[in-house]
Amino acid sequence: MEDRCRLCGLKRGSESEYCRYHQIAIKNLEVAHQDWNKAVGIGWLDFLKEVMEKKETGAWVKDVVTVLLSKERF
Amino acid sequence: MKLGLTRRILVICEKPTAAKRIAQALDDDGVPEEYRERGVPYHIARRGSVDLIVVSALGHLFVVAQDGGKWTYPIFNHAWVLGYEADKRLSRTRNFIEVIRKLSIGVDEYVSACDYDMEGSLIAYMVLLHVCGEESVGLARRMRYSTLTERDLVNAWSEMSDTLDFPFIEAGRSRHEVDWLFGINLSRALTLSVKNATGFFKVLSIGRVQGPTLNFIREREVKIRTFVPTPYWVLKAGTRVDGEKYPLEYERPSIDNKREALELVSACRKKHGVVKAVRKKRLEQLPFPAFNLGDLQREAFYKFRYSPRTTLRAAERLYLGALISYPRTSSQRLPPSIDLREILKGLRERKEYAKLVGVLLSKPRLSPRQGRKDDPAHPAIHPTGRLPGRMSRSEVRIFDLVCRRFMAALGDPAVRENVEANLGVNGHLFRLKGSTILEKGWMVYYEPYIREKTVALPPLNEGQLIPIIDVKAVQRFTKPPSRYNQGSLLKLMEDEGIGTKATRTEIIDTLFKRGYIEGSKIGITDLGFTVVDTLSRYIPEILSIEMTRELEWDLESIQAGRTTREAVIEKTVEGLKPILSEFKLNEELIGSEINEALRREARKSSFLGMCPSCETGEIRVITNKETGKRFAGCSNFFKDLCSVSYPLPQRGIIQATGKACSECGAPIIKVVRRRRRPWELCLSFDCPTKKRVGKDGG
Repeated sequence: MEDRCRLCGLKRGSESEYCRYHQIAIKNLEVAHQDWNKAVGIGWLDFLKEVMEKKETGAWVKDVVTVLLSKERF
Repeated sequence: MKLGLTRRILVICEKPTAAKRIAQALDDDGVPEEYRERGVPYHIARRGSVDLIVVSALGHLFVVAQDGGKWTYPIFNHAWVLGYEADKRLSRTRNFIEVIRKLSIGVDEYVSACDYDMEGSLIAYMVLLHVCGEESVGLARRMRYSTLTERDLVNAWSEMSDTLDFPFIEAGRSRHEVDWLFGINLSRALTLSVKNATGFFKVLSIGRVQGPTLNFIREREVKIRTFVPTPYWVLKAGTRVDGEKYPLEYERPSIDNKREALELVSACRKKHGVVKAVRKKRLEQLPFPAFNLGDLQREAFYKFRYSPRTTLRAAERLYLGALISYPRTSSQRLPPSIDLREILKGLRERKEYAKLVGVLLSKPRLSPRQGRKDDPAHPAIHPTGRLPGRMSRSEVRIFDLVCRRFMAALGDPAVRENVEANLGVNGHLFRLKGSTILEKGWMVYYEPYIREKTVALPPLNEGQLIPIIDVKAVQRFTKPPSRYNQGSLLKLMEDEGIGTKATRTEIIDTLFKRGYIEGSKIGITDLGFTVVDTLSRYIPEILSIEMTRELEWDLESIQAGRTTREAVIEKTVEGLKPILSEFKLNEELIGSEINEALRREARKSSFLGMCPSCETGEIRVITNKETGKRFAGCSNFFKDLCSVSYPLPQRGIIQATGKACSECGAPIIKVVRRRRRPWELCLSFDCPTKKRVGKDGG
C-alpha cells in the first residue's frame, strides 16, 4: 500500500503521501489561511480548529485537518 | 375484418393510443372498426373510397445488436435485429410484428404516421423495411403533425409528403448505431477490465454522453469536498420613514476584514443619512415564451419537484390525449399557422381559465412572445384547446403549467417601477431600494407560479435626513458550489450541447440506475467517482465534451444532408479504435481500481450498524447461498466471537439509518418498497418497543 494516499487509499504519485484530491485540499487550506489571516489575524492551529467546525468545509479538507491537528497535538 | 375491393393503405403509428386517435380522425364517420388480434389492437377506417388499416408499433420494434462473434471488445459489426430477440424486455413486440406482417399483405400503399421526429421516422421505416418488405419503403408517404387533434391529423393527411423523410431516418439510424458502438465497446471494456483483473463479474456501463455528464458531477463534487470556507462580513442597516422600517444596502456587498467591518459600524451607528439622489425607472418585463421540453422539465422540477422523467411521461400522456402538442420539441416559438384564438376558445370552457381567456380574446391581435430557440419539426408546447377528462395529479399540474405559460406568452408586458435612493452616511453610501408592479400584464396568467417581491418606498426628497438604525456587521462564510439537481443538470447538458432533448432524461436516469449518482441533490457514489476518475487518468477522451459535441454536430449534418451515415459511422469506428487499444493496455490497472470501489460500495450497502452485543462487530446484510434469503448478522460470527443475527424483510431495499434503537441498541433500518411509504424499524425481533405496540395497539 505504499503508493496509496494515507487518507483514502486512492493511488498517489511519488511526490506526495496524499492522492491528488487531498493535495488540492491541502493547497486550498493554505490559500484559505492567508485569507483568514487577513480577515481576522489568526494563527495556523486556530485556523485549522475553526475550519474543522464549519459545516461548509469539504470532507477531504476535514480529512487533512484531522491529520494536521493530530500532528500538532503530539 | 371486412375489406372491399377498394384501395388499401396501411397506416403505421407509434403507439396504440395514437393509432386509435388517428383512425378516429381519418374515418369519414369518426367511428372506425376496431379489432384486436393476439392482443394487438388495429382499426379499419374508411376515407372516401379508400380503406385505411391503422396499426401501431410499440415504440422501437428493432434494435441495433452485435452481428455474430464473442462477448468481447472491440466490436464493430452490428445489424438491426428484432427487438424481442435481442432484449427480453421487448417480448411484447413479437405479436405486434406478426400482426403488422399479416395486415401488410395485399396493401397498395403505406403511410408513416409515427410522431414526427427522428425516432418516429425510424420506427416506421424499420417496420416497413423488415416487416412489410423492402418495396414498401418506396410506396410509403409521411404524415407530419404536432398534435393529435382531428383538425391537425386531417390536415396532415391531406398534406402528406410523397416519400418518407429520409434525412430524419438516416440521422436516427446513425444516432442509434453511434450510441451502440460507443456504449457496447466502452461498457464491455469496463466490465471486462474488472473481470480480467480480478475474476469478479459485474456489468458496468459508460457511454458517449454518460461519461461527460458523470464527469461534470465529479468535478462539482471535487470542488465541494475540497472547499475551505473563508469569513466575510455584510454591513446590515435599516431606516425608519413615517413609522415604517426599511432595509438598507451598503455600497459594498461584502467586507473581507473584521476590523474594517467594525470601523464601518461605529462610523455609521446612530447617524442620519442624507438622501442624495432618488432615481425612478420604469421597466417593461416581457412574458416568458411558451415551453420547450427542457424549459417545461426545469419549471416542473422547481415548482413541483418532478423529475424530468415524471414530467416527460405526464406530458406524453397529455399529448396522446390530444390535450397538448408534441412535447419533445426544442422550440420556444408559436408559428402563425397555429390558430391561437381557436385554442383559447377551447380553454375558455374551463372554469378557472374562462375570465383570463376572455381578456385575451378581447384583444384585436394576438402576438405571442417568441423565444430564441426553434425546432424545424414542431412548435413550442401548447394546449390544443381540447378539454381534459380525468387526469392524474401530475397530468393536472403539467397541463395547468402548459396552459398558463401559453396564455402568459400572449399577455401584455408587465410594467415594474424600481426606485433607488442613495443615502450618504458619514462618508459612506447606502442604498434604499423599492420595487412595485404598476401593471401585472402577463403575470395575471402565470400568477400561481411567480414569486414576486415588492417593496413600496415612501416619497423621498433630495437633502432629506433619515435615521440610520440597527447597524451591525454580520459575519458570514463563503459557501461551496451547490450540488446539481435534476433540473440544473439537464440545463447544463443543454448548454454544453450534449445529448438531445429526447435522450438527456434517459441519460440521467441511467446514471442513477447504474448506482453512479444518488440523491435529489445529486451526489456521486464511490463507484461513480472511481469509474470516472480512473477513466480520466487513463483514457480522458471518453469524458471529452468536445468529442461528444462533434459527434452531435455530425449527426445533425446527416439530417441536413451535409454528410452521410456511412461517413459518420466510419469516423466513429476510427475514433474508437485508439481509445479501445489504450483501454486494453491499461485494462488491469483500470479493473483493479474499479474493483476496489465495487467492494467498498458492496461493504457500504451491506452495513447496517454496529453490533449491540459484542460492540466490535458490524451488523451486515448476509444472503444465504442455499435459500437465497437474506438476514442480518454480526461480522464477528466468522471469527467465532459473536453469534448475533436478525431476520430481515425479504422484499424491498434495506438501508442503514445510522441510528440505534433506544431500548435494545440494535440498528434501526429503513425499508424502501415500491409504491409504499418507506418505514423504519428496529432490527431486533424481541425489541420491547415492538412488544409494546403488539400489546397496546395490536
